Amino acid sequence: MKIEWRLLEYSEDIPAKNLALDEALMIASHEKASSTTLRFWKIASSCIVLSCFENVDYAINFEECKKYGVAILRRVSGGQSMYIDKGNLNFTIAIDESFFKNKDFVETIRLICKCFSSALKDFNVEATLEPYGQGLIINDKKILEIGYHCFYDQTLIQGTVFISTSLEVLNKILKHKSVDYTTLSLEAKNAIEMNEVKQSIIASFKNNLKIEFKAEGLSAFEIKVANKLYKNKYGNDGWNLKKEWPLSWKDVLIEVLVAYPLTSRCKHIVEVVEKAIVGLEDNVELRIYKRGLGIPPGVTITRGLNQAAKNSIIPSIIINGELVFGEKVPSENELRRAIMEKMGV
Amino acid sequence: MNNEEYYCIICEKLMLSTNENAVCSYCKKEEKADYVCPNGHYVCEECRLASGEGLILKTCKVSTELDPMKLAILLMKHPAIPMHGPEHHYIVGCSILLALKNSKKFEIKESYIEGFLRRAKKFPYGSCGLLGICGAAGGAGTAISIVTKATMMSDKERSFAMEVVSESLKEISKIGGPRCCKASTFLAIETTVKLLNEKLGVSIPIHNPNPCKFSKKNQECLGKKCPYFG
Repeated sequence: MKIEWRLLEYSEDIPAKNLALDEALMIASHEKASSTTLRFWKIASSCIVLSCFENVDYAINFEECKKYGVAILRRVSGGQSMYIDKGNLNFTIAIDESFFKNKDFVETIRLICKCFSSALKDFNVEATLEPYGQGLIINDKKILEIGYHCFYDQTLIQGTVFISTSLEVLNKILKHKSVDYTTLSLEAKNAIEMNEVKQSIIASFKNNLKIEFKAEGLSAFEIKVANKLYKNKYGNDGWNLKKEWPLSWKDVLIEVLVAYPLTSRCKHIVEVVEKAIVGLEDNVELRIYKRGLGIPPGVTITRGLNQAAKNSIIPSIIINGELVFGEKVPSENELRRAIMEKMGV
Repeated sequence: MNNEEYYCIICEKLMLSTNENAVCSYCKKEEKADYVCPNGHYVCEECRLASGEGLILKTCKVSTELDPMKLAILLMKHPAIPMHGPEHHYIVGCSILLALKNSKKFEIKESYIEGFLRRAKKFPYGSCGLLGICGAAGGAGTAISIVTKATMMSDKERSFAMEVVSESLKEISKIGGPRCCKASTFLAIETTVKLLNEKLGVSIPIHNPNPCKFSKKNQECLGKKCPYFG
């Protein structure tokens, strides 16, 4: 059976906006506002893209970044730091759980990586998957870097192919390299065009995974989410340098902790919350947690939720990580006032 | 949200909507039910909102269960009991005390359970790794100390409480880590029941918890290293 994916070739001039867009693709797919996407992008300048867990001081040489004018950014996925310049072909896959249905997650990731390794064979480069699935290796040197992030029913894959990257700068920027790096042009002993690599990757996905691509642009929803993410997360030093993870891509996060199955009081509190946020959907993200059923992947446990869960304060309403209403069900107006206050209105 | 499907926390069967009365599987209170499972399990509104400690107390006040393992498993299936945590220290001791009470082999007053909880709270979260004393083993020893009225001045009673702790710890330490509060609970109860039989000639029925019903939900499950994995 053939599967259809969107092919998106879109780059933002400001490097951080590309990372905001990657997360927006994943959110849009989760909201069923877009389909699985393979995106290619590139930048004209240079930057270091830290993974979501890395510490700036540990991972990179700050002074060298300044010297070479390398911007310090952070992506949402895990893995290792990626040095990116105009010689990199960057890719993103925002994929939903239907693709993984009845398949082992690790095996599926292997299949996807195989598409990249077979694409590189077009340039007579035999690269193999790194043991932890964080890239492709040739002669103990990394030629492709990759990171993953799971969010609810979505998996975001962010990666880059080193085609004609400046290894001199890369080696000065990265402090702790587990392997050396190489480029496709070096391995192929030939100057490789970025477009050729892109076409090989597309052909490889078509052949190996029987995927049909449909070239499509961004949706209005994706643009809106990306702009908000850039403003609240990717354009800020708090995220890029200090790993300060915003609670939500929207302005206000409301978490409701209820019993499983819901009691009459829990049902009432959910109704009140749903009514109170009518008309505020663009600004307010609502998450309802049922005790004992766990937290979806990629979702941060806020201090207020932790407090409510540990002390069995059920039902409870947590606004922007702060436990605001515990056990007592607020009126619709009371709750709306509390939300507006958090929105600064 | 009102038309959602719910699965029974005890037997995992799809629950059915009802307007009939039902008896809570934990506190035995009868009330007008909303969802009951095909096996008759029902959890009352108060128990759904209860804290782990509150649930243990409410259940122990009314349970007629003779098998400490069955009671421990019932309690651990409730969402108020996390996968790991100090609630397991309480579950071990309360299950043993209740089984001894219901077997009528010892006089166990209601206040003993509350007294047990006060003592068991002295074992902190993570005490296995931090202090070298798993709270589940400590909970078993505390229960025995309460039953035998042991103090630091006692002779055989003090030794027996410590033997329960040391034997339980020995069994728990054999399976390695990372910690699994479910496996520690099973091992502490099994060891205590065995020692009660050997030392005091008290026979308590005990259900075999193998295969463990919690392994799929435990991200740090020990797998084949654990005697209850299957």
